[in-house]
Amino acid sequence: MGFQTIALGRGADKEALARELGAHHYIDSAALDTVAELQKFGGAQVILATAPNAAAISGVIGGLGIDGNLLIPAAPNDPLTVGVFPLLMGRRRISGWYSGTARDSQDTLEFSALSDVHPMIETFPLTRVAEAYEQMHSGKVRFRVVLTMGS
Amino acid sequence: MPGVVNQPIQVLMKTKMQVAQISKAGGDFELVERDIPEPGPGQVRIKVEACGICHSDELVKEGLWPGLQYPRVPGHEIAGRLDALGAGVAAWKIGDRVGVGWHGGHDFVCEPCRRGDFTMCVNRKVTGIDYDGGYAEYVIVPAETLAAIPDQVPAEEAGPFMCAGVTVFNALRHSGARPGDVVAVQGIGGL
Repeated sequence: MGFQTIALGRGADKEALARELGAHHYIDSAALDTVAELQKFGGAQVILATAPNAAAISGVIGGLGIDGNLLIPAAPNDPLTVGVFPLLMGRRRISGWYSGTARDSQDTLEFSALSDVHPMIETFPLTRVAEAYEQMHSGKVRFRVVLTMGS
Repeated sequence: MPGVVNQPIQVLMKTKMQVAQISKAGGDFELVERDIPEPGPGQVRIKVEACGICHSDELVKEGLWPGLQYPRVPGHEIAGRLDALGAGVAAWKIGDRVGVGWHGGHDFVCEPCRRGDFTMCVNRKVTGIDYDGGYAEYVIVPAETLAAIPDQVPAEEAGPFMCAGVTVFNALRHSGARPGDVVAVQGIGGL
């Protein structure tokens, strides 16, 4: 989509995968001050919080640039803890996002075909649903788990 | 022709399907056989080829969605082929490759719908939560939930695009970020 993409993760082991997936930069939040590192880039226009971890999300708000948007499409179970002052001083915002219409989904599929973007998946037959669900829930693999129904 | 018995061709119509359902909050998955359902007016039946497992399927499994009715078949990352059309469904034909995601239908008449903001419908439905979803060989959905799958996208890849994919893609393209802007992604994998 033409962005300068920075992946934020905990641990150096995720860097190779993040770069393979197209990230231009990687910040290891376990070793570095994420906020300070993001500000070296002038602050992020958008931080997309895909990991539903309230503490981690709350901790990166200072990494937003002016008018930056902390965009949250997946709900952590706990509330965020946020100092409002940084929001005011940088005119920053925190926002949620809700899914899309069927046509938005079709746009997504068409974009994936156009730009050769593929999900990383692991498939299981429907009969192994319990095992498949456990695989998703364990969070051990960084794939989307997909049930297949055969013919 | 002597010796050849003129038997009528027997068409074996499949009438049963396998689904994976949850019967109570905190319950385990149960593989059960059900009658293949018929689509009502405005609905279609999909022969499911693939269905992604989303973290939010936990809402069904653990009973975290208020008012959820059991038994329930989860699954809102559906990809398959149209198998039957209900009355009044004109824009699609049997055999079309289609996907269905989290947004499971809207009423077209509430205030947000009248403004064209269908995902904010006050009576919006969620696939696999308000009605049975895609952990099944067949599923019935409202026709307005259908996305056409391009030929080059296989069903098992199309599934995750229907929730995880569209949510991130749609969020980013409405985020205000433009080409060249710095976008940080917190969390590798998952969504």
